[in-house]
Amino acid sequence: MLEDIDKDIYAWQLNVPGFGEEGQEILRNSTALVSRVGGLGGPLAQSLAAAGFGKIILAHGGDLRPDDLNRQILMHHDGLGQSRASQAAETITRFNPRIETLAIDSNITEGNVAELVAQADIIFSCAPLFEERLLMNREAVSQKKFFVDSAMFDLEGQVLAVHPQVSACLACIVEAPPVGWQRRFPVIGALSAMIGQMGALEGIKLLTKMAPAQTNTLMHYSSREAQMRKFKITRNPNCPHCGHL
Amino acid sequence: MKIILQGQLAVTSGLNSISHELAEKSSVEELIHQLAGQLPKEAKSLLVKDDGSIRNSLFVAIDNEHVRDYSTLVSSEVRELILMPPMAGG
Repeated sequence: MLEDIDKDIYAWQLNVPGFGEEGQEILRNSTALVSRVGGLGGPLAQSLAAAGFGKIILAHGGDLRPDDLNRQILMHHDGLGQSRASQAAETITRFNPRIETLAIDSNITEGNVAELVAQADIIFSCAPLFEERLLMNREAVSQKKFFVDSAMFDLEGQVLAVHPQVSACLACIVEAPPVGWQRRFPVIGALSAMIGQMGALEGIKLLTKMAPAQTNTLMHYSSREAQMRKFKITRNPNCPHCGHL
Repeated sequence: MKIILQGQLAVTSGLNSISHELAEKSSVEELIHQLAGQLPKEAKSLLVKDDGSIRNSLFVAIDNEHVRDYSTLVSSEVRELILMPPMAGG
């Protein structure tokens, strides 16, 4: 049962058809892992906090740099040189103190991925490197955890929602880190934030079933064309992560 | 038919789309090779490897349906062939 304070805070979303108190309770009892919390993962994590997730694990290594500040909206100019994960957790806590946050001052690695995924009900993949995304995908599929991959480049972005071992996963379309991807990519913060919001919504849909999540679909948005495309995808029988499952 | 270039492919080629007259049925692979020959080196390298084979990380869709088999034939009824290198910006 929701407490009265929860009914007050979340009153407007309790009226969303298909969501209601049942959906709110699902979110309250859910833990999300978000990696990383930069231009895409930061706004995404804030929307998870606004929606009322019970716990959010924020994984992001390193300290804040000046060139992060055009898009990493959980950070602060006076936090330059300080831990990104801690600043993100602090912002989330100030925004919604009823959310439990856990700041992990590290990126996802082979050494920590299994343990972090095990703590979560849903994984939001927002890292700028394919190696990290594929590690999270592999582990989420293996541990049967919902997975949402959100990514962007220039004025485009895409979201893939994964129902593990049921729908196509990230490795069904990207088997290995591709050649030519550079760590530094062109980005305007509004675009990365927008793709993050799409990812947050797909995650909430996967958990609450308030509307069908867009599984077996690669959602792609181009701001340059102001056009949304939905690509139908299928599971790859030879997928290195889910083909044998 | 329009060939739509997305992501890094659009930025490195300076093109968002190309109109292509499909004289007869061609495979996806043949169309990609034809296109690669018209693009600058950096854009071309996102499509094909040095040995001429197509990069298997390239996301290809015909009229919004993902195509995994590059030998798939493209008919004259196809409106769009979409080519998109994977993206991971966060």
